[in-house]
Amino acid sequence: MTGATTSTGGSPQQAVAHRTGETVLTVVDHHGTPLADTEVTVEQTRHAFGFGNIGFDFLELANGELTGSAADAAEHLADLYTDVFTTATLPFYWGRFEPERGRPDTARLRRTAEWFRDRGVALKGHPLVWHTVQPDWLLGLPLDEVERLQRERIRREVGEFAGLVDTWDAINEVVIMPVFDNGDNAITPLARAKGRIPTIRMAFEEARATNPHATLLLNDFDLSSAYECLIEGVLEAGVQIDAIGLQTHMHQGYWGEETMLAMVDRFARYGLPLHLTETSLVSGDLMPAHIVDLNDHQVPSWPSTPEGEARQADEVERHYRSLVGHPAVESVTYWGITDAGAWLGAPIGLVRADGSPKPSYEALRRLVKDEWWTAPTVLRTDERGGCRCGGSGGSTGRTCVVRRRRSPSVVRRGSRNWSRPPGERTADGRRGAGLPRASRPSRAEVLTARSVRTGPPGPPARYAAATHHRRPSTSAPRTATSSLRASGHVSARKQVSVYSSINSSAGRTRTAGRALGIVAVVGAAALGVVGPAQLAAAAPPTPPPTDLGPNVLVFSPDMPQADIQAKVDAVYDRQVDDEMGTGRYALLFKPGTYGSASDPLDVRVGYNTEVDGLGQDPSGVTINGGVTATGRNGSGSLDTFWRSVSNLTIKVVPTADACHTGNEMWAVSQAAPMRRVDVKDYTTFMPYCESPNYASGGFVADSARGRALNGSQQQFTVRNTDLGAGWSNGVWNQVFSGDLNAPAQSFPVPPYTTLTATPVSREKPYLYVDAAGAYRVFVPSARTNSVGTSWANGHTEGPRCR
Amino acid sequence: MSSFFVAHPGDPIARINSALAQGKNLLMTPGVYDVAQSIAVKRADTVVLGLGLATLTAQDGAVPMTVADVRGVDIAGLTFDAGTVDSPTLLRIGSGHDKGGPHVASAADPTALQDVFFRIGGPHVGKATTSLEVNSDHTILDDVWAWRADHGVPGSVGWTVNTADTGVVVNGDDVTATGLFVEHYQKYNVVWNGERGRTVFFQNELPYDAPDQARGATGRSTAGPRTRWRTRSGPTKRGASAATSTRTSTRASTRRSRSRCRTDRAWSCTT
Repeated sequence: MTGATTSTGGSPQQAVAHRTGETVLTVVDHHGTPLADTEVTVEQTRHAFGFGNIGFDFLELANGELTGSAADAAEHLADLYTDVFTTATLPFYWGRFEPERGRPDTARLRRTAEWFRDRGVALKGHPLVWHTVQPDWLLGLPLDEVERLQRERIRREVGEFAGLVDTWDAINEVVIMPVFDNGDNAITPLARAKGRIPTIRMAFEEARATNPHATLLLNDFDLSSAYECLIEGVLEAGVQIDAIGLQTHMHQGYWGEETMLAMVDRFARYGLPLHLTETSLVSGDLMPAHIVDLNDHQVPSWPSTPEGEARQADEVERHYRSLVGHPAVESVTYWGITDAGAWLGAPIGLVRADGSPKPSYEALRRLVKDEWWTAPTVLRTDERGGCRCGGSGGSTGRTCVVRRRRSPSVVRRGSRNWSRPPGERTADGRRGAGLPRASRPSRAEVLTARSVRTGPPGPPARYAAATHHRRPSTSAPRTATSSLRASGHVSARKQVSVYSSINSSAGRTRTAGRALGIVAVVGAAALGVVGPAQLAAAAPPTPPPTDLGPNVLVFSPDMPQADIQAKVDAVYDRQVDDEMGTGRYALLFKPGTYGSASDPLDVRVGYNTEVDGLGQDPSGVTINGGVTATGRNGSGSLDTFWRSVSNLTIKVVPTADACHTGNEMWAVSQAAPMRRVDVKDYTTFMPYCESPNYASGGFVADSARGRALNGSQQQFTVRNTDLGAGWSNGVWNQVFSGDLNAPAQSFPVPPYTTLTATPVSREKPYLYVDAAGAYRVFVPSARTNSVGTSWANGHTEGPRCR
Repeated sequence: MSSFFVAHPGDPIARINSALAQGKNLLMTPGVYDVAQSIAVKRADTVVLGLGLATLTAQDGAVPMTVADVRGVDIAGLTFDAGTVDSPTLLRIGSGHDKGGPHVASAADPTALQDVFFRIGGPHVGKATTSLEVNSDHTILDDVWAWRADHGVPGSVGWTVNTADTGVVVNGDDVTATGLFVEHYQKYNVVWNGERGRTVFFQNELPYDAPDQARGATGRSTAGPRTRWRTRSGPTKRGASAATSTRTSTRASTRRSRSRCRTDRAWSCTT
């Protein structure tokens, strides 16, 4: 995928070309008769692209809690807000929403939401689950009680606000959630206990069950591959997410178009709409770069400066141009209309604390309401009542009203002063957000549009490629939804709606009522839409086979065991004494069982040989027999270096070579790790079949065994391993860290050093094959103070799968 | 695997670097890779995973792999071989631990090394001043063996042949070694300058081939204990460091000489 750099080259029109297209409308009267050769005015009423901001500053105003100059100032701010922004994020932080258990702030938030809705602003709730801003009364409750209350809270808020707030940050900042250490809260332990993906499932399933029509987001500030991988895990687990939220707080400086778009590209590949949910750019000093958690930077005063404001204006413009230019982006929400009361006291607002707009506000308004806005256009229908709409003016995706033209004075472009027919619902049964007064048929007859078709190009090829990525099957029907839809009359005013959907560049279309939430406007520009035929053409291809080269031998359970044994032995024969040679081998076993009680498979492991199971967990591959590393006569296991075994289960079955295979023998020196191996029987790390039987190992991690023998190992370390029935002896230094059933600390006699928990660890990434047979690499997440294996209670935790 | 570049021996390093620069992770299939310019890991959360103990051999004094000042990188399953021309180091994690910035070194998303091995000499003549240099804070060293060879192909081992001053240098703070094995270096096995380091398990062995007690500064004489493990401010600082972390457990088990230790089936060692 090439980088999206459209914003920095070419004209602004080119930058948003993918959002424009041409639609042919047939204009009919209320009897359905096409109006031929009639002058009509096409007028934009709204952007389909979401230009959002937080609505936190308007709770008092919306609830009539302000008087005098404070009310006037708030009204003025509201005017500035609604002139530019089409979506408001409302605060549902649990700790502030329900500081006293059982007394949620529902009524106040409802009035605020209605206030916005009445001004044509759609709403988003933030957030349903988060580990910060938690109510104190949640602390100390048992985990199952916390989970029950969290689930109740999701259902309550989503249910109470259905039809009013239909977009939610279902869960916020899950990457860090289970390891968050910057403040006690009840949610972090819950996320740690449940795991990230089950926690996400909890949030989405509760919200979805309560409001099936809601648009639910996963939102995070961590934009590293940890988040990518979490998304992959969530999709793989079948949790339906509707859009990916990406936070871009830039208190430490604008990242620049290139970095921003490269990041957006990474998240575009899932084929889901992207919402830039939290954007901030400061108009004063930048926060020092060494601050990791932005919350750690607390300054008494953080003024906006003239230079900072000029810089912010430039950056805001560049930021919006680049993101609107990226086809996967569906909305950008700025995190603050005003400096007054801004997060961290930072001058991130577009309006100064005194209420005057900063240059950044003017810059953004110029883009949203001028450059990307289509002025009212007078058109004449053809003999069949058709007219072409859209595709000119370089507008972003937008929604238009078509009106029969009676006089020039009917042409208005204001988007403010909205009113909403109470309870009016869209054709698919959902409540609309409101009807602009300007488009109400008081002065001009709203005509109907019928028989639309679109003629836009498909998305740029590089984004079409993005549809190759897996998405949950539950979303498939939606991708086939037609991008434009005409409905019947919905009101006595004889308005007919055509719902336009904005495409997502990644080949996913959305039904319009959901995308726009607007009733009774004519969607004249469904822009950059991918039709069903194109979607079919972009069906996921079979992934190409991964070429692991000639030195990787891959076995599957359906291969004759004799063949497997012969190949394993051939590698062993080559490598057994080739300590310093150039041979390097990996023996990989696909999921299944190898060997049997009557016919064991013995995988002898020589130098520079790696033996791995390819299951997702150690239980995926079982070897009846052994995986054997031995000493040599003359030196024992002082030089049994450079080999490894991982990710499988061993049930010991002795072969004719009973000394080496009567127990699982892993009699190794350094550089011969055993990881993720579940030995159901006795393990020996001592080369007791050789003379002398010295041994200088050794390393075991994330494993389990029935019982283990150190034997002659001078030193050995065993981490996060279940030792089952125990461990015998040690020579000079035997360390246990985070093990189960380990001997107690007793150094120096016996020389056991025992750490109850491993302070910090990250298990090694490993290769496995997924259900479709494709190779994947799983990258476990870091653990702190861990005890036992990463896989004892299900899959290893790892948002970082690739 | 779409996020991985699958490398094979003989692939131009420039191609590997290009893939990494594009945001790919790296899967190195089994074999020996000659590396004359650094494989440069520059992006946070990059995974470099070797299969079959894939081995990177330094050429012309190159540093075979460098990791930028980013967080969450994982280097696993690789062997680094010194080449005939001295390399300053064989693997460098970060350029400095104090550079700051939002993407650097994170306790929540630590950089980690698992099963990463170093060889100076053995298969061929090898020279590297330092084997592993850890500058990034919070790095986890989980099974690292740095080995200046004490045996190998004839001609590849000797006091002036396989030269290597120091095995592991830790400059980063809050570095945790859950499995660290370092042997036979000519000056120091480990130099640990970072603060709040933790070592769960450490094994080391002094060189057998020090020609005399003077150079053997590095030898097994009374200078021994300090040459095994040196910290920036000497023992006091080290003590303080250890005291700040009660979980620290360092047991240096020195296999002083094979000839001096015998084990028998009763698994006792007499020295």
